[in-house]
Amino acid sequence: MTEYDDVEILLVEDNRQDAEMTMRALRKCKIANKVQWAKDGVEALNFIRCTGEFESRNKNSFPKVILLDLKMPRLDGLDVIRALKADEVTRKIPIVVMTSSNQERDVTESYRLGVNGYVTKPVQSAAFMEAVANIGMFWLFVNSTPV
Amino acid sequence: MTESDVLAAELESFSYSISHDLRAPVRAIIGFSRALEDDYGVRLDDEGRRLLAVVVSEAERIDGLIDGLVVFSRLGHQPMENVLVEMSVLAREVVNERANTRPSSDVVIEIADLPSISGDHVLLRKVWENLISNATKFSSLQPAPRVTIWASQEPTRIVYNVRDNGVGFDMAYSEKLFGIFQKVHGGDRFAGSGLGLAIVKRIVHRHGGAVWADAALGEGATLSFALPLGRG
Repeated sequence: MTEYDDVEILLVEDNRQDAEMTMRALRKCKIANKVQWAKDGVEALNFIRCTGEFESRNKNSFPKVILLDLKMPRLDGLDVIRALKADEVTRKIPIVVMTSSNQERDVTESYRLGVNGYVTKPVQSAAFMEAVANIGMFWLFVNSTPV
Repeated sequence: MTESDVLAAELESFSYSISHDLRAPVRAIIGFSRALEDDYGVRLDDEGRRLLAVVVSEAERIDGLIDGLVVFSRLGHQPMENVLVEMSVLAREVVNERANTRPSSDVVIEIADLPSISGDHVLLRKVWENLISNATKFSSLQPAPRVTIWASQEPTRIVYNVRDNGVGFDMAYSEKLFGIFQKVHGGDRFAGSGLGLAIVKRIVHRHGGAVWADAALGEGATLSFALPLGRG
């Protein structure tokens, strides 16, 4: 058992402020006990695949949902979706895109690649908190995924 | 790729950057101000809380400006449809929608019969939204605010007009009126992004039409746009 086991939400976000606000919102509504923050797509894939710094992680434990930003350095969100959905083991992990972009082409492409949700980050703080709380509530408590 | 394709791609990338990169810090300013208020609000006095509220409301204003810029840059290259648009119906819809969202407004709006014309329904709706919003805003401080909308048919075009009995403006500044982020009324007297009429101008130009204004300080203003006949 490592500190990386039993992670409920994997937050993939390169913007430190957005990450802090999202984790704060999850903490405030007391939804997630364990949130892992990956700062870009490479770190996210390392976490999921138990490679690199996450080598010692339990290979059978996956987060209940991945909150994924799109525009990130090194490996962007769309590439992360492609990689995870191409792998039989990781394709069942729900992915919710959370991004600043409301461009139609990003929404279309994300869904084409098989994401489970797409949320444009609200600028208003109350709306932001509510969006994060709703996502957490649904994917952690309401939704069921195949074992 | 033609030159206009290149330009369209550049604009698309510009509007993408704006919506993504500029919004992130604005969201952080608002979010962290809220966090400060939540966690340390009790240690602030009234003046401290007022200053914090100013930070939030100004950040929200930046967000509104970003929205406007994104809409404006998309207008230049989004594909246009060409259908018969019932302008009377469209203008009435916009006015009714306004009445529903602002039930306390006492502006009287009169709409004469407006000839239909070929054009893009969604974009022409934006023209009416902006012109009607402007007219009601600038007449709102009058004792009996009134907005009149009518049209006149000419041999090759139809001219649509929106007149208000509001503050008007000095015609010396009429050139600035349709520019981006240009406002002919200073300060906080009338809230707005300074983009409404720039949006109107771009849409009307894309239809091959023209826009102009006629006004005098303190005597109201008439904003007009002409759309060519026979496009469809």
